[in-house]
Amino acid sequence: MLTRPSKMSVWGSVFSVQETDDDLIGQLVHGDIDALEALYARYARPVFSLAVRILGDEGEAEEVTQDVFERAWRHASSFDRARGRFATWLLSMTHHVAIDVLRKRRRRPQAVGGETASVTLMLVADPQADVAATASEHLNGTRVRHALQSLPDAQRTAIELAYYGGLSHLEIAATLGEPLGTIKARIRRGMERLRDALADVGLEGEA
Amino acid sequence: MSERHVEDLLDLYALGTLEPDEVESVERHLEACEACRSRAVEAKRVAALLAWAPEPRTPPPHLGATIRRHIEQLAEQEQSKRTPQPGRPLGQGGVGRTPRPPKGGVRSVTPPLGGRGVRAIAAAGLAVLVLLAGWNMVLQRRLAVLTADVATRQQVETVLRTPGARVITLTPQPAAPEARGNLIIDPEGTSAYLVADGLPTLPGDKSYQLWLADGDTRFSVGVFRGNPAGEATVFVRSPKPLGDYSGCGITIEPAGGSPGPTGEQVLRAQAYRAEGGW
Repeated sequence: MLTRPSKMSVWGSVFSVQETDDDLIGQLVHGDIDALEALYARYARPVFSLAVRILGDEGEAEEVTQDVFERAWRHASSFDRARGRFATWLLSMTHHVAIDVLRKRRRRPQAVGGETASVTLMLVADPQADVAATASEHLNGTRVRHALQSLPDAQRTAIELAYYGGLSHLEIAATLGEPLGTIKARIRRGMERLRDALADVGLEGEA
Repeated sequence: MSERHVEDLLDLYALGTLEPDEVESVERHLEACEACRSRAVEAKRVAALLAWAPEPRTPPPHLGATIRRHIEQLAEQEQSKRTPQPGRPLGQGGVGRTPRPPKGGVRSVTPPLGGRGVRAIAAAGLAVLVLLAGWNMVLQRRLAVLTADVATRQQVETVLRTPGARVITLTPQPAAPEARGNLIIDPEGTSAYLVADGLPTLPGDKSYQLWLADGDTRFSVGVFRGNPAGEATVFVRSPKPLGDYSGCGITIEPAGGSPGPTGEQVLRAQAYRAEGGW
């Protein structure tokens, strides 16, 4: 089963994909650092890219990336394949960690236990959501990017402020000086368009 | 179940842009409404795709080596600490159990520690115990397990420090007489940490599954495997207050979980009441 070299000298090098994520997670649960290294080689780029997008700062994004992979290391046994793909789990964790950093920077009041709970929440199954159909790690991000960019500016801005900005809909309305109902409607319409444009995304094969 | 459907809120819910009270309301509805639940799954799928949209950026070349070095240090610290007692890095004093050896043939470095060094962690553990001693006698009496993972322990501690938090002790079942577990429930009763140890090592095709019982219905709230030392800390999020359920249980199921419990129970608790616990 093991076709990966037992040692890799440099992280982030192009890794010859021989093992599935599931294989690597199984090894990670047993403390195999090489397995984490292989997962880093696969996913450091999308993790770092998302953190930069949210934080707008490469230094902070590095810290978030380090935090995320160490969390993956610590909490590998909490990952539940039945609930979704590893890449989705990792990027969800990245989103939550980066948004927490962003909110801390803004000194935005947190909900009770929100900071830690929201991060941890993504480490286990969400009983409400089978996110197995989310993006494949092999998905060309260009397609999602294009779908987002093709939205009318007002819809895209509202969605970006929500997802990458970590703002509540009330805060988005205040930021943009628009009625709350308008913001909600823009988000709904924008998400509907994304849903249509990306209907078949996330159904691609496993690694 | 609330009467009004929540489909107009699901996109906002999926993007994480609702206020906390709205999230609670939506989740309460989703628990009972299949139609809205499937719409929520689709909304979450689309929201999750946004994670892939940013322009690709390459992390600095040194970052991978930095992370690896840090984790290796953590693993070494853990390894050296475990040498006399390979099973449990922390919490032995509180539980008095013989540690389980890790699975053979693998590096016994899980769970890794959180980055402050063994001494700091030991001190933190003591600090937690001291804190608990002055906190809530009921919680202190019932808290049998502390996880070694600093980050997770801090999160558990956060819940414990919240006035109104409760700890429910689960009872081991014949399939796992050495298993022990506590459910540390937040004051609102809708989220909790399951902290367990003494769990039997499972074959690769099995998982543990945590269930809430509502009459004859069993509702899955998590699938996990535990680490090689037989320990597990699982965050549980309940769509409605845990007090509304008649009990909970952990069973052994096929890897990835089952739609309903099929295997042997390892831990259980029944008849939860807000004041008295299960």
